[in-house]
Amino acid sequence: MKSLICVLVLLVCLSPRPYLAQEPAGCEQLGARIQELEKLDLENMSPSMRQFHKEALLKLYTQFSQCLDREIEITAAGQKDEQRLRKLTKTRADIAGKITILRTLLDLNGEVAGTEMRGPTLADKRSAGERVGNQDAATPVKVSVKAASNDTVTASGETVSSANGTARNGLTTSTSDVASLSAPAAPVQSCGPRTSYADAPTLLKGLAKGLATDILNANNADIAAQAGPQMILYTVFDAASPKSSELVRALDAYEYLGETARTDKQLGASPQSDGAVSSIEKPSFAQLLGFAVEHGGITKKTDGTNLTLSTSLYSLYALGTKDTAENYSRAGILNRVGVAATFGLENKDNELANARRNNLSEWSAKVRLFGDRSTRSPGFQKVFAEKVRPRILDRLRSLGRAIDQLSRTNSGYDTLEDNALTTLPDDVKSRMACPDFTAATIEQKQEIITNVILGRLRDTVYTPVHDHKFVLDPKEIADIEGEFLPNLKRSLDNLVLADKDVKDAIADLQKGPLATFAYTNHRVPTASDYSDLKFLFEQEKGFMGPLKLSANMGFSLYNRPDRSLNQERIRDFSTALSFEGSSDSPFTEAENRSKITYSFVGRYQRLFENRGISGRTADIGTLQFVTEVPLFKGLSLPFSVTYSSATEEEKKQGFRFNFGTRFDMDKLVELLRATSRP
Amino acid sequence: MKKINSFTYDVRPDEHITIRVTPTNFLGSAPDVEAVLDGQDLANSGTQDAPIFEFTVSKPPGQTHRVLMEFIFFSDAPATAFYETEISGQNNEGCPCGFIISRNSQIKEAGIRFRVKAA
Repeated sequence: MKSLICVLVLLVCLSPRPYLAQEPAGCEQLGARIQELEKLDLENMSPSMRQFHKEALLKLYTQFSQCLDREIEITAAGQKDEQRLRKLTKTRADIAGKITILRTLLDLNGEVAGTEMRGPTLADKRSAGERVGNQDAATPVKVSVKAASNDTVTASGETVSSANGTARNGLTTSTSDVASLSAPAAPVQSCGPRTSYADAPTLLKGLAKGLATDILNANNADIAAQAGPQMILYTVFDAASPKSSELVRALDAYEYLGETARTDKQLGASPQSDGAVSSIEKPSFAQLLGFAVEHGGITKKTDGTNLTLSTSLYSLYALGTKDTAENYSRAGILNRVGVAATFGLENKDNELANARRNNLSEWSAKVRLFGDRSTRSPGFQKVFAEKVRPRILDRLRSLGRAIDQLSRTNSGYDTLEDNALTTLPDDVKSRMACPDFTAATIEQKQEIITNVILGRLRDTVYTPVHDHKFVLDPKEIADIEGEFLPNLKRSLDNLVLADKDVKDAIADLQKGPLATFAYTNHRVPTASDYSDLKFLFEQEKGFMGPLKLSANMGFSLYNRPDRSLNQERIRDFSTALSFEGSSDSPFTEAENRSKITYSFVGRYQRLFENRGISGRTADIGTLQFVTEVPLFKGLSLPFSVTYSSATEEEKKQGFRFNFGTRFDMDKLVELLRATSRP
Repeated sequence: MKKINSFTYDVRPDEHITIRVTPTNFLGSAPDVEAVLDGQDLANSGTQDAPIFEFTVSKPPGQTHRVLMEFIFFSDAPATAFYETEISGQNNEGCPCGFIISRNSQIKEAGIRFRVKAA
């Protein structure tokens, strides 16, 4: 009876259930099914049932591990929950250990212990066993791989599966029967030295190094095969002929569209806040909305004096759903409205502890009225569709057509690709489990993985092509030299122009008109609270030529006017005008396109409560010069000098100087990323 | 469709393959994905905000379809932006199938192989 129950539980656990792709519930369901199996009492099982139990557990562990891989990748990509990421990684490590134990118990470990790999399944093993004696069965055969003369390390004694039971690697011929053979995937190697391909073309090396970095960041060895067809093609180009090798080595590593400089960054605190340098308010804060919004809903900014927390209605809406581009489009006006709160910074050890009512100095809301400076704007999309998209597609077509033509004319090409790529992720994964790898630094790990990828390409693609074990006929070589490589070079050259077009179009976005309505509630501990209502406008391409025009106009209201202080409902009327320019900085790194910025600001304010009070004046004028000089590594020096005809409290004219240092962590990260790019 | 790894799949003749891309955390930045199937443009049958690339396996068993893709991140894309790509066919084995390309990824292109196997 107990055996029957065990069988039923096993069947329930193994039966296919609707799988919710992308849903965390999918992993949880697998976890629950594993728990059900782990609870079973093994003592009451027959040996065959125990064996079945182990196989069932192994299957579920493997599925669970794959599910966790995906969850880890999603969580890491979103950078939203480090605690969850740690938990997922730990669970995955635990499961990997259990998989290793079960694979050992089930005698499935032909690979390195401690790694979960795509080895033979039980079904494979059984069917292989059933095929014993069959002449056509795939039989592992030991062969020696002859290394090229400039190899620094050889992979002698490599095991190669051979169809038809002969010691050939499936790459020796391009006759039609090769295509019909199953791909003799290159075996997974364990720790130890690999074949070197240190002199690989820059284009290929850049790709391998980039993939190695991504594998480490996402802890996902599958990424090794991400640009597989492209890597195979570049390697074939390198090995096909001296001329094709020369041509492919003349190509630079491909750089994707992107840039480092963001000159539109400004804190959310209004010019009246202590610590604010500029006396004019910009309609845009950081990107599109005026309020920097990051995933997770709220952005934190500090300037040493104030803590500003900002968010948008869209980000609050997105908390209840997924922040996809589709949802953003649907959100309508919600992505035009932002809110922010500024707190006085008393506790600098725990900045968020300052976010309490007593420290609140102001809160504000902004609505974008017109103007769109995002890459979603119709103007940018038009430039992209006309000038950039065709060039991106041209490179993909150049690669795709070369691969497809070689694949069609040479029946061994698909096998060549299979041999290099199918088990490449497993090879990387097994290398990542080696003791020297786990003890290595990040840079060393990156180098090890890069070498695994390049070594595999050398062994399975370069050497067979170079040594004519994989035969390219003269027509194919002529196509590579005369058509495929020139086309690729042309498309890469065009993409350099496309990158410039994108940067120019993005720069133009910042120059268009942008209008915002802003409401700010100022909380003044020693006086009366009041509210500002302002219309903010900004345009760079205007009648002032290269100078950017910013204008503010508005009025403020007392929330509760204090008649004893001569206050009325309307507190003041104010207007401000600013002209801003920029020039190249001689102090920054080559990758840092931050510029020296300077602005002249004039501001007029009529403060009604000062009328008729001796020692004060209702009319206050201010002239200001502000500059910021970027230095290096995100560091910059802001400086301002201000002349005032009076202050709100005193009819006394005078000058005020402000200077200091500013450190932009975002920019530093961008710079580090740019310099680490292969 | 049977998953071999995230970028290699075994498919059957006449099987319909769908590559669904979900741009996430892009906020005001425009997402864009371009794709080519065996050297020919593969049209986006979805929208720019939710791209879908589809094709039907037309090569005979023993051959391979390849989809090359490039994922675009403009400079106004937040550091947390990523594309989640889901690949599906008929009778999917080994799925969830697909991969993620994030703003921080060094390599923002993919080459997906669909090896045609006899039905």
